[in-house]
Amino acid sequence: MLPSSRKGRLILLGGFTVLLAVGFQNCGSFDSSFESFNSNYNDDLYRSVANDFKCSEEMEPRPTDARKLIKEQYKNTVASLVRGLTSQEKSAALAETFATDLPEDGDYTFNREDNNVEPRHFLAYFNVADRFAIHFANHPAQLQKLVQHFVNLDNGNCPDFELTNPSKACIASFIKNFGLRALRRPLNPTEMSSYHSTYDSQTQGTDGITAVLFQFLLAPQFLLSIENQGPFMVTGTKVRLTGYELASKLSYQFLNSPPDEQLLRDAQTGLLDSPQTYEQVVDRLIKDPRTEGVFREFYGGWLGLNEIPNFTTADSNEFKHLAGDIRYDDALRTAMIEEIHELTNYYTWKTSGNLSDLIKSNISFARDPELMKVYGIKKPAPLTIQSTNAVRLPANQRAGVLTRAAMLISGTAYENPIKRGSHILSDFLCLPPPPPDGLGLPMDSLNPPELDENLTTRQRYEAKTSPSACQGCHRSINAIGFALNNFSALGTYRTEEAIFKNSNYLKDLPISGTVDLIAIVGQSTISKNPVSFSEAIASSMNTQKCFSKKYYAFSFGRTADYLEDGCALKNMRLRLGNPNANLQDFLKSVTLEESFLYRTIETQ
Amino acid sequence: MKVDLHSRRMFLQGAGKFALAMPFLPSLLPRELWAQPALPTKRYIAIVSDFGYSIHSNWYPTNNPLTRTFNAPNHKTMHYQKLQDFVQSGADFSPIFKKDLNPYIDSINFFRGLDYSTRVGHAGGVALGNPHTDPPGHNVYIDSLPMIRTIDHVLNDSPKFNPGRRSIALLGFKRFGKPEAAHSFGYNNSNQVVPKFPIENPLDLFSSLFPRPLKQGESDNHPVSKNIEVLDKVVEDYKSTMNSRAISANDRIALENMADGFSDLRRSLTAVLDIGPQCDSDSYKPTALFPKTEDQLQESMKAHTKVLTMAMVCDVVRVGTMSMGVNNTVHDVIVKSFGLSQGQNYHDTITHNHNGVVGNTGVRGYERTAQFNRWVITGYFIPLLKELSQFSDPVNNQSLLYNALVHLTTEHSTNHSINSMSTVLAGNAGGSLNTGYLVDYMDRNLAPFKEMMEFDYSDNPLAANFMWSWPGLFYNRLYATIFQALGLVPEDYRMETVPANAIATVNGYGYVNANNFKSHPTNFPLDADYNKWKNSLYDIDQSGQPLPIPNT
Repeated sequence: MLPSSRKGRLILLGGFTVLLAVGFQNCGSFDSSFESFNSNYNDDLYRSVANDFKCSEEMEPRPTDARKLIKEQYKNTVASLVRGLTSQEKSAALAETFATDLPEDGDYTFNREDNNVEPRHFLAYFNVADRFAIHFANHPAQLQKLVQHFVNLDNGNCPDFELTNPSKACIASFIKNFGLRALRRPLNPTEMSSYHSTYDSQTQGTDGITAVLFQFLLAPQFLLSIENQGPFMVTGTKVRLTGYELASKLSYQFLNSPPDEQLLRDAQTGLLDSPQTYEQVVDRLIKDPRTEGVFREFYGGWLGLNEIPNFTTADSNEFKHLAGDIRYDDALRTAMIEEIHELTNYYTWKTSGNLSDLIKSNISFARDPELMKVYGIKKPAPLTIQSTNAVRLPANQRAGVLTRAAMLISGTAYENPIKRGSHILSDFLCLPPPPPDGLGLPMDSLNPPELDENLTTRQRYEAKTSPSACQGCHRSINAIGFALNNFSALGTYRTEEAIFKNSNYLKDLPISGTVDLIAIVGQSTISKNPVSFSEAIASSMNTQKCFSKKYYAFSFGRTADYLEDGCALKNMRLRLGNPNANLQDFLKSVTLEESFLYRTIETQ
Repeated sequence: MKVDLHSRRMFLQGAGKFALAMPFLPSLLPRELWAQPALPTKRYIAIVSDFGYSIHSNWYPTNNPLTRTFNAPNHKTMHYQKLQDFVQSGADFSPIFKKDLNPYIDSINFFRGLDYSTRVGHAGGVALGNPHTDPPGHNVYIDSLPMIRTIDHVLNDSPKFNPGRRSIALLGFKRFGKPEAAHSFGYNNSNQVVPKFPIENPLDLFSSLFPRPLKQGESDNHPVSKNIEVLDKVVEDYKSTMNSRAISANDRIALENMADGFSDLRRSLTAVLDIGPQCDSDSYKPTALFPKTEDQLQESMKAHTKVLTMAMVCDVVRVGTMSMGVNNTVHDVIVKSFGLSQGQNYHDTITHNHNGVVGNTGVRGYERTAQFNRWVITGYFIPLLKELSQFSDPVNNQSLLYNALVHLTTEHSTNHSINSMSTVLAGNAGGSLNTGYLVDYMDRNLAPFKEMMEFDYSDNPLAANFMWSWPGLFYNRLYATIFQALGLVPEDYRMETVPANAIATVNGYGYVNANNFKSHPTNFPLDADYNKWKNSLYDIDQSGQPLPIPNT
């Protein structure tokens, strides 16, 4: 028997095929008029630029499936258990433990979307657990300190731990305390019994303890995040996660690490069970300095910072002319990427910024001399930036992340407005245009337009995409790509474009960045420069919807479902659109959602 | 992303209770194989190129109708020719294969006239059986289909084909920035079907397949650790959690998969495998390769191939998938080798652009696709055939190639279409398939597909080589052919609950459900007569049957 929400979903899917057939033809789904036709279908509903997410009371949040810890989380979790040692001993123990191949996370937008566990993972898990156990077997003095640390957490239950002949009380204390940290919740009687039996199966105390360590490092609750504590299944209800489950979920969300002692205490004392104190705990985690590093991963995935082109083959005459005295190399590319990280970091953590600030800010974060040349500024950004000492980018030239060099470079001498437009449509507006398909298009349609000494890049692309067969998609793509026309392929600002003939400089032609953004904002909106373009993007509801959707994927490790997750998405979007809420409020908002706090009970 | 919520165990065990007639052709297998007490080990390797063949004459040895005919029950008359016919004169087989096939010509089948049964997004896993593999919005009809596993994973997950659940070897180069365009799709830990990515660095591939390199005559024992015994307790923990209260159905599947994974690891770490004297993986250990030039790329691909071969010889894997996409590395090699500019998406720029001039060198897209596919042939296909030919299976004293199936295919066929898909099968699957033929299923009495004129080629002096295509047989019958040649029966790979559509129907791989068949205005010329056409072409009542192959 299906829950009512599932039934509803199946009914809605009934009309799927027909809707798609119309919806994806010629990018018609960008058109706001499309919404009325497709009002029943979630994806197209979402794609409509005029509508917010819809929250249906009948839709229950989708359950969160068990997920493996991603590589960083896994390593942090193992490392968190090495305690009581000197820092040198700890480093050596971890180096030995991790001296094996650990599979990288899969190639997803966010690492957290990878839930593949393949044979090589099992081997890696085994090797790490084995090496961990063997290290301590080979270093009994360190094992003594490790166990002593954990038994001491019981405040005197086992004051004199004896490694070679430990008392039963000491072993029980160790299993209980180590288990609480390894499994991120207290062990139940069955589990206590299992680990005791493992200990008892070995003849010597040391062997028994290392066997227990090994078993813990391969336990289901160690390798996976599983939410199954609390009441038995009851049909048709939701169950709030236990304090320990929430502690774990929050800690991995913000720190990529298991709960620390404070968080475990919060769980134990019930602070996570009431809404008021729960929010205080969330606030504490958000303020933890380690959170900044975790959200570097989020912003990097959202903005595709791993895919920024390099300059390895940008050695043409045209590129040299474009660069002038700017030295373009890996160091410049790295500086461009780091500048984006600093921008997102600043507005998220250093000041009370919001998404609009990210998209409209003209504060410079450039310190690299070559990047400063790209921006045409003389002063490096101060190490500690405040609104009073910030270096501003030249007036009316740049606003926000879309106009920073890393987002603009193409790796070649010529910018590609199609790629610029597609990137923003896909990652900022979540309206990915379909891949080009030659069917029915004129010959050579998919080639970049030929160079022409009388035409600017924009004019060449306009001519190339002028056939009606192209316009269905390109009126959206081009509008965005051309809006950034004031930026060269190196990210420098310009009002004229250098024209070449046979790779030799010929002349400059004036350029225009004026566009009508009707296709993406739903009404005629003239943007005359990159600044007004950024303002239009910042004020678009779709930008907020898209950012919410991306953060949802980052948080839950899966793409949001517009029906089942509609309420969470809408709440997050509203938080993002609230002028009084900042980015930290938004990042916190997901943890207040039912889909984060509760698990759905299945029908039995 | 749609989800196939079937448990792997359910899938493997649950099919038998349905009483539908299964179109299994015992005649495909020589009778003597049924009586043999020990069968040779069969292996399956897929090679998928991200670029199609663009023009017919670059891939096939002839545009002409073939000279011989053969018949099969309930099929129209079909045509074929021996591959030897095309190499005896000493001429190149085709621009993509040149003379490289000659040593193996009797061990190969080429197929012409195998069509996808609807306008599917041809990027991604559809060539290996997952129709829902395209980036969203590719103007296709398949988006409503759930994700299903590609056939490499179906084989690898099958306890019949892959007892002991060896790992699958995924290697090659992924497509830059498009994980959904992977060629291989399998279960993740929650039994959701997700893209599976190739390992690009040959040394990483080696390390993943041979965590401890194997020496000649040595067994695959892990260095003895007393902790191995504790793995039994670990498996118990997973089973206990799986059966505890308040576990959701999905989590139960995930925990079951974990329990199985650790059980398999336990067995593999302690099993004494008879890997035979031919296994010496250490001698195949590559160095780390980060190719910057065409030569280095070829070297890297050959290193991939050697590692895979030795994994097959040592019986570490039985299924491998080699993908050739344009990632950052391949992109940079393309830029240098083809004299193009940096920063282009060279999948779209070349393979979606057959007749256009690519770059400033005057070479058109279809020639670049041939050049790219030539890399696949010289880097993967031919070295693999050579390697597999050098080792023999003592069970039947035949080469590993004879006992295997190597399945070569490309993203699309002529003119970026999905008709007459490039399909090459090398190897005899242990004697299950006759080889040495170019088999043509196209029925030239019918109207040809109009999409041959996707672009106007009238300005091209080679326009005649852009051969028209006629309806033939459905490509997905190839899946049934491969599965059955490798020893599976329909019960092993059919599905019951997957929504019906053109490629994978309620019955799964190899089937077409005429009632859910989808036409496409730009794909099929016969839409006006669609209802008449769908029942009269493609021998549709033979859905699910293996492909007829000549035997003379």
